[in-house]
Amino acid sequence: MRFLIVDDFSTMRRIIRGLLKELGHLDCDEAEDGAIALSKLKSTKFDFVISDINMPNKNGFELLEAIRADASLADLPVLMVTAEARKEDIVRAAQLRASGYIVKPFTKATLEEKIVKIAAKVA
Amino acid sequence: MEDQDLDALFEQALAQAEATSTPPAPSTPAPSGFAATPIARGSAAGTPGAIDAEAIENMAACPRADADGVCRECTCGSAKELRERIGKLARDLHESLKELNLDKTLAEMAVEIPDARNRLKYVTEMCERSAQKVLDTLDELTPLQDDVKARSQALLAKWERMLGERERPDSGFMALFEETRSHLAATVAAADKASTLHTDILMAQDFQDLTGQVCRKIEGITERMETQLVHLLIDTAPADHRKRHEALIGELEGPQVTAGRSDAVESQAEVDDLLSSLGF
Repeated sequence: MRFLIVDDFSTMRRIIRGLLKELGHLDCDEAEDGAIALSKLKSTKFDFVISDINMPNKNGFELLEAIRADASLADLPVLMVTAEARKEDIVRAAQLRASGYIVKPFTKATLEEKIVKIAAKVA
Repeated sequence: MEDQDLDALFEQALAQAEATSTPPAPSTPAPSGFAATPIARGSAAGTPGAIDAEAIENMAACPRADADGVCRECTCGSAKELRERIGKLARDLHESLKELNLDKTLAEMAVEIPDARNRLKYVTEMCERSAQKVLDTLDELTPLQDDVKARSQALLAKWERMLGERERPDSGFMALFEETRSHLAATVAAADKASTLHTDILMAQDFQDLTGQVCRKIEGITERMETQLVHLLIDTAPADHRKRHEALIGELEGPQVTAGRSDAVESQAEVDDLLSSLGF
């Protein structure tokens, strides 16, 4: 699977990339905000998106909305990994059809569990 | 606000009042920048006394007690009453600012907020730099650890094969083999444990993301406070200073990341100079 990691903090992008590597997923690319992510998604094929919410330019909700509105991307799994722990944010993500929602700080086991679960649904 | 600035303001207000012949006092426009300033004390209407041009000019330079004395001598025609009210308003405003120490406090805050924001930004940058350094170190360390583990496993496998091929190894050989096998097995186990610890170190760097987001929010809050404060300073500055700097300051952008901009300051000294030129 080819992953796109979207987060405005490079440290978090590296952490997620490192975890994915440990989980055997070596094919990863990164984007520092939603706008860059959308541009990459339209030009390159990805199988899985892991995105933060609170980002400049285009936040995670806007990215998710744009993905679901684009016929060629609509079915792409999008896992939200964010520090936003308010219920209304989680509900909003669900309403926008996020594939999963992880609140930071998280563990490797949580990330693995969500990825496996989402990938199983897609397959 | 310095005394000379108050004096300049007072002179300006005085000139404006003198240019107006006999306007009704309540509808007379206040000096620019003080339009919304409430009158802190009661009107001077009804105060007996006389005022002349020389007395008005001297009033700005006089200590408060002397100025009050001059005011008490004023007579109360409408123009004179207006002058008296404006003079009292200006003095009251200045006194209030001085009594509350607001003039200096506001000026100090205008300097301290950007300083606090810069310090917060420094903390954010240092945290990010440290986290990145840890991740860089892990990136170097992990392959070394993986290599030690892989070579130990391969060597162990070779020993196992050789032992299987020998029919009756002597006791000295067997002792060396057991010792070597034990060491290699321990190395592989240690490598696995180290790998788990590497993951823990990796995950622990998420503090930079979490604290960084909090710092960014606080930076935003202080930036908005600074914007309001600077606008307040501009609004209460003498009109000539205000006009000169309103266009320059405009809407604040927060920390400057581009060096050499003509429309931005680059050092605290420039901030101090700007505030100083505004009369603070």
